[in-house]
Amino acid sequence: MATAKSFEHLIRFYNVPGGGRLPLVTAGLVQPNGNRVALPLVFDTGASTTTLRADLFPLLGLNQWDQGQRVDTLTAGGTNPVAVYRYQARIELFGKIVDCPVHLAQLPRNAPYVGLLGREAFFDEFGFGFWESTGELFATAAP
Amino acid sequence: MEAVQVRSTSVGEPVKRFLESIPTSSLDPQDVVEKLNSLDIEWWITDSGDLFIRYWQLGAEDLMPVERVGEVRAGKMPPPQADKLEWVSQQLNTLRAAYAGQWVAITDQGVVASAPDLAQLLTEIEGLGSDVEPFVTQIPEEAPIWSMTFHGDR
Repeated sequence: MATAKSFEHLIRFYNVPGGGRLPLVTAGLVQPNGNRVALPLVFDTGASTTTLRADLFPLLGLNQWDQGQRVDTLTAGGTNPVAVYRYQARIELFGKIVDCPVHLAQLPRNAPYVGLLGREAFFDEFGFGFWESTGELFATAAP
Repeated sequence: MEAVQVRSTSVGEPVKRFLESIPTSSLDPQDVVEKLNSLDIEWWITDSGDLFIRYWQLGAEDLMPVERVGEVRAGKMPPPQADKLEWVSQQLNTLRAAYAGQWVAITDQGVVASAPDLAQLLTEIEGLGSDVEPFVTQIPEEAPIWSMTFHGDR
């Protein structure tokens, strides 16, 4: 049986010479003072929780990155748990604002993104579909 | 969990607002053209004193289905007003030469602030106004790496 789905947003995969490719999106983060910034994040369907670079703590109104609830977690391909710290944040994607948990973690510094959008409390709000052959990911804010 | 709909900002909206304000603006003509220069808007004053401008504007909404965007747009360089992530990606070597290791804030006018740490950058961009949502990122000091994805596990 054929199933028809419609998507109104295109998420591009970005390439770098000699590297891989990742779907990057620009997501808005609403700071506690109400000001907003736009951040480059990986649309990571494999991440269970949205995770931001530790040094983004000022955007959450924090004085340091490790003052929240500590959670020990595994990185992809890693065998030893690493410590991350759990907070709550307000994130906007495709015109939809979602209050969701975020982790602050030590992520790579020389990457063209500053965090990963994960599933918990966030992906429920969206639908998406991959077109691997064209390197495109389509998303809808009205699944 | 809370989900609410918000209106997304149109491409180049602050520029459009400035242009619409020119006829009734009390700005000195010299200030007007300096502002146009800062916005990278090409302008010309005719002998009779009329102002002509050339700039990016929305030509047609929903011109094509999103499935065709990648195919039709292939090879085109975007302006910063169109998609800042795409613009940063295309300009990364130039940005690294000027801002390696720095946090930068990018608006429709390009890079509007830079600082060695994020807290300092946020202080510098406080004056931009609440209707401006600057694109904030750190320009990689070394060649970008793409290793890792992070699987949170609670």
